[in-house]
Amino acid sequence: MAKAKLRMGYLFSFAVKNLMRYKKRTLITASAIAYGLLMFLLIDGMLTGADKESERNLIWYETGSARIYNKEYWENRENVPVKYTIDNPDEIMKALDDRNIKAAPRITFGAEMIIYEDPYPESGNKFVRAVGVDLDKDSQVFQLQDKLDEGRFPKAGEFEVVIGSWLAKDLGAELGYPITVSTRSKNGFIQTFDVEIVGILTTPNPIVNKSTLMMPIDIVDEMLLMEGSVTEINMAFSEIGDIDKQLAPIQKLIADVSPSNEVLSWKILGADYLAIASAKREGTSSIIGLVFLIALIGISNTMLMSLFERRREIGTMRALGMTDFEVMISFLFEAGGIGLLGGILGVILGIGANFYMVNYGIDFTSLIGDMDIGYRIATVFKSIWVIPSYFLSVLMGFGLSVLIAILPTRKALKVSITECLRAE
Amino acid sequence: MIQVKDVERTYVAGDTKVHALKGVSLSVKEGEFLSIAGPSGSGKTTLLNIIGCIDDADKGDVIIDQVDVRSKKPDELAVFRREKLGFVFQTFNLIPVMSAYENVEMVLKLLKISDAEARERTMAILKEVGLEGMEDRRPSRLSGGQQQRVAIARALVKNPTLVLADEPTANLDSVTGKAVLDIMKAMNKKYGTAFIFSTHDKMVMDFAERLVMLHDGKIESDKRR
Ligand SMILES: Nc1ncnc2c1ncn2[C@@H]1O[C@H](COP(=O)(O)OP(=O)(O)O)[C@@H](O)[C@H]1O
Ligand SMILES: [Mg+2]
Repeated sequence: MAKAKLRMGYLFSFAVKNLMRYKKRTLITASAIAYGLLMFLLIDGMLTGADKESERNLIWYETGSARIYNKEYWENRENVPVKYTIDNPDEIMKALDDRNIKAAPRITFGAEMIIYEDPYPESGNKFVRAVGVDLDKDSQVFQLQDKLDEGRFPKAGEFEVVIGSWLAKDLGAELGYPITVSTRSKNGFIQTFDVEIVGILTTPNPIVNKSTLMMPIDIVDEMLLMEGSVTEINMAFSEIGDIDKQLAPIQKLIADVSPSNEVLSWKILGADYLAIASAKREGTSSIIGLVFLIALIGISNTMLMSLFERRREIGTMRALGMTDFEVMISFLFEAGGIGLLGGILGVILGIGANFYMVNYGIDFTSLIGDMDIGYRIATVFKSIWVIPSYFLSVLMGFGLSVLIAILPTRKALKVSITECLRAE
Repeated sequence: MIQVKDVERTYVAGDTKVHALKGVSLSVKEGEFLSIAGPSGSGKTTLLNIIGCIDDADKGDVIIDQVDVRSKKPDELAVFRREKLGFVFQTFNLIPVMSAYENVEMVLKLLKISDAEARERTMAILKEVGLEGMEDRRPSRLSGGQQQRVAIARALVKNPTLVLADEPTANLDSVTGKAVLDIMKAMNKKYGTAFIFSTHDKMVMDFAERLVMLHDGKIESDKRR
């Protein structure tokens, strides 16, 4: 074994000599690999950053960490049903408060929003999801406090509304404009009332900017004849951790205090978004795979060229008594060396590129404006450091290069020694 | 030491068959300095390749040092060549990334000989072939004659039983070629290593102590001189 090791060391130094001798080719091929890995690290960092940021924006502005619903609600959520309610919100709120869990009740309802020409540019109607909030409690759960572009939050007892900035832009709405809201009360009567825009909201979550229509909960309670019931209670956990673990005691509590209700985590609440995100991620991965494939074709080509140019050398080494396995190993060391170099180069470039992306990011608003591109990110895309990916890159550069070199080397070794020696 | 008996070798290229060796028998004793001569296409390279265990005959026996090499597997033959045979090629075939020293030392490294001993033996043999002071040069910085001396040193450094040289002087001018043959002969005398070299050159044949003439895949004559 020690003797075998000695020879491995020798084959290794031989490979290094060859890599040094064919410097230009080594560098070009390693650069191709480095470029592939740079793309991987860049996109991986951005996607992971976007995912994490999206998750955070989902939790902070949209779903909270978890939500309590009537058990009938979730299945019928498409209809925004106000009839499936939590009937004892105060009791639940108190129980949560006893356990130091921040919580806020909301009434979410579907409504037709009607606007008229003057003051708006044109008349129109739109079906929306509106929400009645308890502003004091809501600001404990959602991060909306300092997100107003202009105006203020609605006051309790007033017919006032805050709307998302993208929605406002869409409608041509400004502060002081009226909105007519037409909806059905809990027991099915049609109710119509006017509210005045007192604030315009911009958050890092485009969905919120696009859809928010937020009024005082007492007004909504009164108009929809809710009689103190709410459609949901949102909760926020200060730490983002293993949500299922955090949820377990609360689920037990709700089962005790109000068995007609259930607790759903943000992962369930945001399931539609998360599914899209992971599909998107897969799509992007296949693009990275393609880029990397091209790099690998590069190394395969380099090996083929190298093996072809050096076939007489290969014949000589075999005639002098190197076994095919030893010749193979020396070429695999070469391929591995190129791959390792490419991997290290790729990581250096990746760190450089991601350093910018992590600290500054790209502001897409100048590029695409107020467009929803599926992420819960409204402004700046930032990357995050995904440390394992950097190790993986070096490993991939090395490992895949070695793997890809096996086939051409084997093929070269199928040629007889005499034929190798006859080569020009 | 070497018994070649009724060896035949046929090349098949498409529809045509070339009978390169048509029943060749030859015995070689230890320490012989033998030339296989004949016109181009007479089968010299084929015969040397078969004795050198880098090609296989279609028929016949090849026994080297009591080993029936035709029955061995490729890896066993590689080890056999590594231990027993030296090669000198018409086109020198040094490894371009290695210095003269490293080209010679490589053979000993493959035999797992210790660094110290390998160094001593490599330096000694390079001195003997007249390359003292040129050890660090790459092949590209050596003349043809110098490269062939490195090749001879590479073939001899492991004290092989037999050195095979296929037209070793064909790529050299006559003065350099003669010098290379002088070295081969001197090494043959000093170490008793058997040499088999092929040639189609009358001047080179004159160096041989035994001259085997090949013609059209058959041995035409076999004379000691
Ligand atoms: N790989 C091969 N394929 C087909 N024919 C070959 C091959 N190698 C040699 N030959 C033929 O075999 C004959 C003997 O060749 P060779 O042994 O190279 O002769 P020499 O070395 O004496 O010139 C020649 O006719 C040559 O054309
Ligand atoms: Mg020949």
